[in-house]
Amino acid sequence: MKIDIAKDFSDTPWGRYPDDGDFCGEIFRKKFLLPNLKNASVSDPLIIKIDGAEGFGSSFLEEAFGGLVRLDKIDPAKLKSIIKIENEKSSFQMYVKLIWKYIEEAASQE
Amino acid sequence: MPDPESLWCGIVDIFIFIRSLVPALLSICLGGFILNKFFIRRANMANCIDSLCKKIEVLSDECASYWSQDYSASKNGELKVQEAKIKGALLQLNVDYRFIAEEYKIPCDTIPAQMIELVDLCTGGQFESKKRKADIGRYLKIVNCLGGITVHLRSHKI
Repeated sequence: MKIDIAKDFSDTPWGRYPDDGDFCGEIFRKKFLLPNLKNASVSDPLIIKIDGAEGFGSSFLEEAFGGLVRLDKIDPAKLKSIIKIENEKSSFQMYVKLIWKYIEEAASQE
Repeated sequence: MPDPESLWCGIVDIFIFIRSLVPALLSICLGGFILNKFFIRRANMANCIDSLCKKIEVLSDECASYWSQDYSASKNGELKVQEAKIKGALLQLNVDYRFIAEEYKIPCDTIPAQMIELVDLCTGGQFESKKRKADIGRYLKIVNCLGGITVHLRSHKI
């Protein structure tokens, strides 16, 4: 399973809540991450390709990925085993680190 | 009319003299080339760092303007441009920093962590959200983080 954020969702993901626009973190989490995570497993992880987007706001990443732990109560250890973040651009490596940071922070707030 | 034998001896003497100078001349040329390359490289590095520091100042100004005011529907268009500028500046800063660090072998043990903290500070919280309130505390943290990055970069200019 693979989600290419730029192709499947938007190349300009924007904002945190649906009030902020159709391509916000909450909508991405509810319409793309959660349904795909139900079918993901260690042997068949959900691959999320982040290249192609024109940058991300931390608010989008926190709502989308941190929200999985904070609001949808998914075990962060399980998330780590069934999600794989893919990026080819080295400049996007910081977003990968941010995604895992938000998942860990959400877990520590639980 | 000079004696051909003494003329030949003169030519040989000149040749021996020039030959004795060749190693010294080569050393001077090589030394000059290396020194020149070193100083040009240092000057290029200083220019790159200055350019990066200017981009950091611009980012700081954008963040000051953005985080010092609440979200306002009447300024929505202007705010969207500012948000795009901040995200673009952060990406550009990251790319430029990586280039300088790799090209000029600047030790970067702390900078990647600072960059991640910076992106988190500049675009975290209620960034791009209609619920956003002015957050001067966040801006102060951004300034401190940018200051740390600038100091680190400038310390390699000398």
